[in-house]
Amino acid sequence: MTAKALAVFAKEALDAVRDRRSVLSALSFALFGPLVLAMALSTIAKSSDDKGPLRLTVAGGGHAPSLVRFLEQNGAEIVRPSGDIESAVRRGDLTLALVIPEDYGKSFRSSRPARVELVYDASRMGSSTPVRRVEKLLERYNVQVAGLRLTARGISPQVALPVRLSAVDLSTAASRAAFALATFPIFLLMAAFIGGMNVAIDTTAGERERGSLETLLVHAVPRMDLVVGKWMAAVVFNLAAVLLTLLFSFLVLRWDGLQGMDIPVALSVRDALRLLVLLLPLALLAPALQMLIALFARSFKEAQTQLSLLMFVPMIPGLLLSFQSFEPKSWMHAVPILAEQVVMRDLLYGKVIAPSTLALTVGATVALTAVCLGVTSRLLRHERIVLGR
Amino acid sequence: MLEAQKLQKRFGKTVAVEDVSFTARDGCVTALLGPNGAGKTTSLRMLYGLLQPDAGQAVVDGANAAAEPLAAQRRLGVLPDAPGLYGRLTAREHLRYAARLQGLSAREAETRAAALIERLDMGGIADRRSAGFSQGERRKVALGRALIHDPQNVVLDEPTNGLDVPSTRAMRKYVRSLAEAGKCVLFSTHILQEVSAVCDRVVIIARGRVVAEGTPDELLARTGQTNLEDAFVQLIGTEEGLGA
Repeated sequence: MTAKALAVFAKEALDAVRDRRSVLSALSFALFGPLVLAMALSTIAKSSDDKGPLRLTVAGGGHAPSLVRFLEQNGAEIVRPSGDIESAVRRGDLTLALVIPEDYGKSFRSSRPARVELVYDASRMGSSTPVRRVEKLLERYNVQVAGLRLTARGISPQVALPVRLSAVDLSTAASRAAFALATFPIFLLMAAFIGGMNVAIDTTAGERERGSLETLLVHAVPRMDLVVGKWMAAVVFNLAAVLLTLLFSFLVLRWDGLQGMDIPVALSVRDALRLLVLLLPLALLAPALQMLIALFARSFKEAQTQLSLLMFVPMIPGLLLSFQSFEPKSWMHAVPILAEQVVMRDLLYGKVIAPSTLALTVGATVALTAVCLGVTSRLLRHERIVLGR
Repeated sequence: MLEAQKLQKRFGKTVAVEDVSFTARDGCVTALLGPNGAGKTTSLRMLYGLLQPDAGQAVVDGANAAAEPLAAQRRLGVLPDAPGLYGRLTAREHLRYAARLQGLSAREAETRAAALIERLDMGGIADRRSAGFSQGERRKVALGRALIHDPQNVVLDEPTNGLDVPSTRAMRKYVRSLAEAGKCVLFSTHILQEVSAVCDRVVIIARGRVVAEGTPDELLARTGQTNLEDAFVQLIGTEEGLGA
């Protein structure tokens, strides 16, 4: 590290810290990722609560006493409605309500389908499980009553049941939480790409857009010193974002609301440190890549658009990894960005990572970083890059 | 000393500089005078190592700007076309940064910055962020940055462009004082008044070629004109692109 590179770093870091946009983009994402994780996990915690009592508001229960009795016998806690049901559901005061119209009894007695309404808002979180439970109960009531009616007419109820489905859902709250956690590496990865992006753009495309690149290049400074100094400033922002994301995630996973859930992949301090080892090379690579690409952009805005779109390319394997149960191939460990995601996933599932695998992953990423920095410093010699606006 | 030797530069099919040779000597203010688009900025950019000449060479105190850019740049202070300031940095921070980039120690950077702030009369803006600076204030910071390492050679690209009258006068005074201190000053301009006000020598450039070189008096004698404007028009053969 030369004194000149350090001087560039010091200036760019100071400039970036004073830039609210750079600071906000680094910080907001660090909060955003863990927040989404917390929301996903708490939704799972709520929705998986299918053994507890089912509170069901029933309007017009007096029209269908036998149905209400059936529901009560099967564990539903019947509540009388207060006020308008539809608006209560719309406001979210009520998760769901069963409405029994006045003509229920008449239709029921004459053996015509008696209409009941289940009112709920599917867009509300946590509505799907109770709705499913009520639907199941009503289905059972249907089968039971139909059976009685057929028997009364001298027909075996079995005739009306060509197929009987019995679903065996083996998922538990814990395994569903593990699924949510599988998306966790993507957030960490994104933090390493977003944290320093503004600085990477500002020090390259931004520098040229402001017309300060020419001035900068007339100083007696080796191009590599300029590139390394700028890159380090972006790396610092990246590291801050990654560390904060990890810290907040760590806190989320230790949060009381999730403690009852017995999450099998709760983040231990040791795992967090291992993740950090994988994220470090990524935090080095991302700004190097971004600076190289941003140098071709005509303006800050253009660079920002290109890089935001480009960010999703490395996310694709991560998303696939989180959805599919697939075995990583060994060549993947030599592909930077993909390798980190494969190893992070294995790490979260508690697999042992071979030191040689880790070395290959880190080595490939660091090597690509060096190549990017080298190419960027060569590009700064090109007239078209320096003067083209 | 700055020497342009048969410089040539093409951008695609456009010839920006066809054949430019001149010498700017120490203790002298040399003006590169020419209409807009004559190739002044391109010639200067080859001198300060930002552009590579297609033919010929630019030499700064014996160092070839294309072959040894760092050696040439160390001997050179440059005020480019655009001041290129960082809006979130103060004037003093700009000077400090330039000093560190030129290889001065942190302490030297501090002393030099303070000295230039005083010399260029920037006390009032020294610790303000440059985002709100006027044209003249920006130009001062940029000049301070160019002089931060006390270079023997100073290149100024249209230093008074866009400045008001007091700032223009101040800039001309600084330019003169540099030459009086023994520096080699080369500046480009398309403004004739500027030439008679500050220059010892003039290099007239038009359509990428040097058409005349000498002191203002020599140019008058050569063309038989009594004022510089007429001499200039006669030399470049057109009135196009000339500022009064």
